[in-house]
Amino acid sequence: MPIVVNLDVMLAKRKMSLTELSERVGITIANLSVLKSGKAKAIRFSTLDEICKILNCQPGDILEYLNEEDYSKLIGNR
Amino acid sequence: MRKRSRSVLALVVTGIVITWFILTFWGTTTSNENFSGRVTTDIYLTYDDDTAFGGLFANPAPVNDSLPHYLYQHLADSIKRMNEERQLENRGVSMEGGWAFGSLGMYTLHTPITSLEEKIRIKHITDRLDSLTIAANNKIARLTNEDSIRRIKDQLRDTTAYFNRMLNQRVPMPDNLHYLSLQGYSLPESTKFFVQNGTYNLAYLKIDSVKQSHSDTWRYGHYERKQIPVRYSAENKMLFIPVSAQLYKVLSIAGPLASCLLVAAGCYFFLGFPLQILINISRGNAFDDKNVRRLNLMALALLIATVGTILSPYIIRLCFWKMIPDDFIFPGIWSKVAAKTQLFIAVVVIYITGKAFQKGNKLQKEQDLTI
Repeated sequence: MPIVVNLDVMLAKRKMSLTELSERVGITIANLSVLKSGKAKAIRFSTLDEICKILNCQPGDILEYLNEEDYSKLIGNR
Repeated sequence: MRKRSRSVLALVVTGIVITWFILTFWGTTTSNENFSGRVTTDIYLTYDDDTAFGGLFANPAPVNDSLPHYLYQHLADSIKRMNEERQLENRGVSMEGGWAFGSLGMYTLHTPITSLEEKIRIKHITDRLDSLTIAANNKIARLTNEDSIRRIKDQLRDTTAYFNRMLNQRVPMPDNLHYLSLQGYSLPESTKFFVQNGTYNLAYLKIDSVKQSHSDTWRYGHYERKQIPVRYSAENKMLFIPVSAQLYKVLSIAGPLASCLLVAAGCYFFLGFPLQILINISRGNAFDDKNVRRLNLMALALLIATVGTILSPYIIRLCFWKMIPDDFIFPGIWSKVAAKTQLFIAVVVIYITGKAFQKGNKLQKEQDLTI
């Protein structure tokens, strides 16, 4: 699925750790790690709302759509 | 589109199965309705002293009714017992031991005794007793001395007791024979199996002429015999194929071992798996991968077991087709399939349950990965 989660980028921009985010959002680190690594199948609007509120960003800053070619390159690099 | 084609396929399969059931039912009722009431009677001649068919149609030898009652009764009982024993041999139920699993089995039976020899033995004894009794009675009729009459009567009593002991002696049984048994075979009404002089034979009706009246059919014929390589038990509907003692020994070990393994596998699949599934569900892991795999395996194992049970007698029959005479009737495969309908339904139910669990497993995973 060529949708990339840029949560690590936003965390770096806001200079916030995953642990701090998890404490403030109320989601376990394990679940946030799943989201960060791109393994998640879906994200609830309520979770997105919380994350956007705390990181002070738009959903588009966290989620990004790539075409198949770019996505393959990205996966290949990872 | 794909889902739609699947639905159409399911409908077509259901339609075929329903049509098959209706046709089977309709076929049965139609044949009954077409029965016109015409009676077919077979007429054939048999003789009481006919030994051509191993005494199959012969009645027990008559006992001289001028003999004293206790002697007459004893002889009649002995002859009856011998006749029953011979008939028992013809039916092949005097099994010594063995095992059976499904339609296949291994048995040890007595070597066929020559019933003719036994008949001659009884006839010899009864003739001797007849002549002795008549001679003694004639002698007594001529005597007037009480002492002499008593001595002759004592002598006759002792002789009778001696013959009684002889009659009570059982024929020594020769060595046992080993057989591989196949179940489910039957013979037509007019064909009979018999053992004679250590050989296995069939007596079958050969029609010579047919006469028809307005409502009845009369078929005139006679019995003919033919030797076959297998023994048969009409009571158990079993064919006994002779095998060597060595092969019997090997199969006696391998057979029960294989059946034990099959029973163990059956217990594992149809007892162990449902228990494990129930335990998993009670722990809250209803839709995990293991349960889905177990249900799929259960459906597959039940399908293999059902198809195996249906096909195995035909495969075994194919292995021994040279030895099994055409006179024996073996039910067609469709009747066996119809008899196992419930098991096929069970396979479909377990398969559908497995598919439902698979869908549940997919939803569970999605739920687990929804943040």
